[in-house]
Amino acid sequence: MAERTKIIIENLSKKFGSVEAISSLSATFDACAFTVILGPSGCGKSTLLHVIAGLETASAGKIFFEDREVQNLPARERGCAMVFQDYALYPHMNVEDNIGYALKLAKVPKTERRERIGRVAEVTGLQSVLERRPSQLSGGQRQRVAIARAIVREPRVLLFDEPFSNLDAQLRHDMRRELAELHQRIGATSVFVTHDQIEAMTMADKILVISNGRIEQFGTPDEVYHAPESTFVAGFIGSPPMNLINGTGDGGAFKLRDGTVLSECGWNGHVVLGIRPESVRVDRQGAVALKVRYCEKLGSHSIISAELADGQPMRLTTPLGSSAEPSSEIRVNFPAKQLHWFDSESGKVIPRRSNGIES
Amino acid sequence: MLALILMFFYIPVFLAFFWSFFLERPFGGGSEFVGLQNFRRVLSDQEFWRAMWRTLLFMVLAPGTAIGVSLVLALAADRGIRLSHPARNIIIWPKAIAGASIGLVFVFIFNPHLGLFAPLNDLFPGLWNPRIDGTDAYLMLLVAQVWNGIPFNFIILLSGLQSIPDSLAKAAAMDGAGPWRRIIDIQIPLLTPQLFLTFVLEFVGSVVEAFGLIDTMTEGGPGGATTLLVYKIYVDGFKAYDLSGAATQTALLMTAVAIMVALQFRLEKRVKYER
Ligand SMILES: Nc1ncnc2c1ncn2[C@@H]1O[C@H](COP(=O)(O)OP(=O)(O)OP(=O)(O)O)[C@@H](O)[C@H]1O
Ligand SMILES: [Mg+2]
Repeated sequence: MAERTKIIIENLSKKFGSVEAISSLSATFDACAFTVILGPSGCGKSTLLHVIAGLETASAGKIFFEDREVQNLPARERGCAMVFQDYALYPHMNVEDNIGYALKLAKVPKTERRERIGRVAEVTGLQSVLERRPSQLSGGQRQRVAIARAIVREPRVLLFDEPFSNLDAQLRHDMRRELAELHQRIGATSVFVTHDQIEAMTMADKILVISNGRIEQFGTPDEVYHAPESTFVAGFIGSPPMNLINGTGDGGAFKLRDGTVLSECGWNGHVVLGIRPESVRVDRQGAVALKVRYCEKLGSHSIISAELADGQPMRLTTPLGSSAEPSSEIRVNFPAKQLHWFDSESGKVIPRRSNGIES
Repeated sequence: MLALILMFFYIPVFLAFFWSFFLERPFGGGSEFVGLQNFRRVLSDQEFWRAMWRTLLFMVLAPGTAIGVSLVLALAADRGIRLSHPARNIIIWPKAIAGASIGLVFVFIFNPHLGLFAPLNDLFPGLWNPRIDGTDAYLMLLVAQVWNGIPFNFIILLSGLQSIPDSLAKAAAMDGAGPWRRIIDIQIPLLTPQLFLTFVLEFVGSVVEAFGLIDTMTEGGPGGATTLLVYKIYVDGFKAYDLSGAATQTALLMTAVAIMVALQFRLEKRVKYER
């Protein structure tokens, strides 16, 4: 079992020339936790991971592993291991040598090396392919070799950069489960980068959502899903994501531009109303009229894309079987408890308590 | 393409082998089959063995140095040492100069009275004089050949290094390998196809291209010190009109080169891998 190592990041910045990939980011990743960094392409996820690993140097700020300051140490002195998106297996070495390379460099005696390779090969189900070259493996096996290579050193910190993005859906699902189990077993502090929110939601102890090199939210999957702190998080998480509707709070009601009232509202002025597609209730007596654009039937449920009275799009999911004809009108209710309110300028959430509805 | 290769390579080679079994009269007048007599004559000739030895030494030293230097330059350029861009341009120049004119340039550079070594010679008379000293002449030829080969090798090796995914170096760094270890354990093994290509080309070049250099720089002298087998064949065949002897030596040279290349191919097979 690896030493318990918590990762503390303080005001970390990384610039590439004039491009600021990470700007003044601070966060603490708990020891032995599985932290997922989630964000759209180009938001600085890989950069953050590389800076933690020591493959890139930070432009400013500090990184601590427990109480050891590491931002100036070279990669090999930090005790991290990393799994790369394209696996980065050494093509000229067989699986055994790939896994054992780090041990060889660390001058671990040959017998112990073989034993440790054997142990991780068993954990990752690779015993039968130890003699093969990476080019003779399937995608899933290569992925396992990459993971085996990372864990064989029993690192304090395990870093993953979108390791499953080259796998097909089924394999991805299996690997998610395998990795989650493996994490339980080895208990290294793990940081996992992805832009796949399903991976994030299913595997994470905590999710760090970033956009443009800044933290949008850092919380448990539940918090990120049920209490998004910004329109960015709300619109990024969930499939389909939360509906964000622009309108005005006026005399206790939330109105669209054309005056249609959608719900109660404790705020005056421009606000953004957020509601999850699955929170919208279809109801013949509903207060809000929607014009259906089209309906995707997915078996377990259907997703209806519709338009509000002033033309803003919104989506809702309905249970099995119910569907709606394009161009027809349906009526829905917005349950007050399921509404999220955001400042239309900053995109930040307006705390529930202060909007007066709930109390 | 195939026809051209056939016409300009296989047929002459075949003819060389064919002729090596005949005695050709220098001024025409038919030829007669003599079996292995030509070979017996050539192989017992001290001059042949000296030229062969010089050739083999040249075949090892020239490609070895040219590729070694190119490899160091390519590794440096690949590491992103800021020299990279200027270096790429400066180093490609010599390729624009044909082999023969490079020879002329080197004759000047190495001229004991006018060239780069003139000041040294002023200090230590007789230190450098390729016109008189056979070793100096051989070295000069070697340097010219190496110089000539560097740009091409550099480009091939650099492009090979650049095609190695960045993440492999990163993975090795995470595994605890410093820059040196990464070169030895990752970069060079993955560069095998390019190294092999440059070795074979350099090898053949050290036999074939060397002719142009010898002809312009030393004409085989002084005292035969730079008479490689190619040049000896030319002298024997076209100056001394010993056509059968030339053909026989050609056949022997071809065999030597073929054996060396075949050995390299075997080596390459053993280290082969798929990316
Ligand atoms: N070596 C570099 N030189 C210059 N800019 C870079 C470099 N590496 C990354 N960047 C820039 O930094 C930003 C963040 O890149 P990063 O690779 O961290 O994104 P990412 O979140 O991992 O994206 P993806 O999901 O596509 O992998 C991007 O705008 C990118 O163009
Ligand atoms: Mg990335």
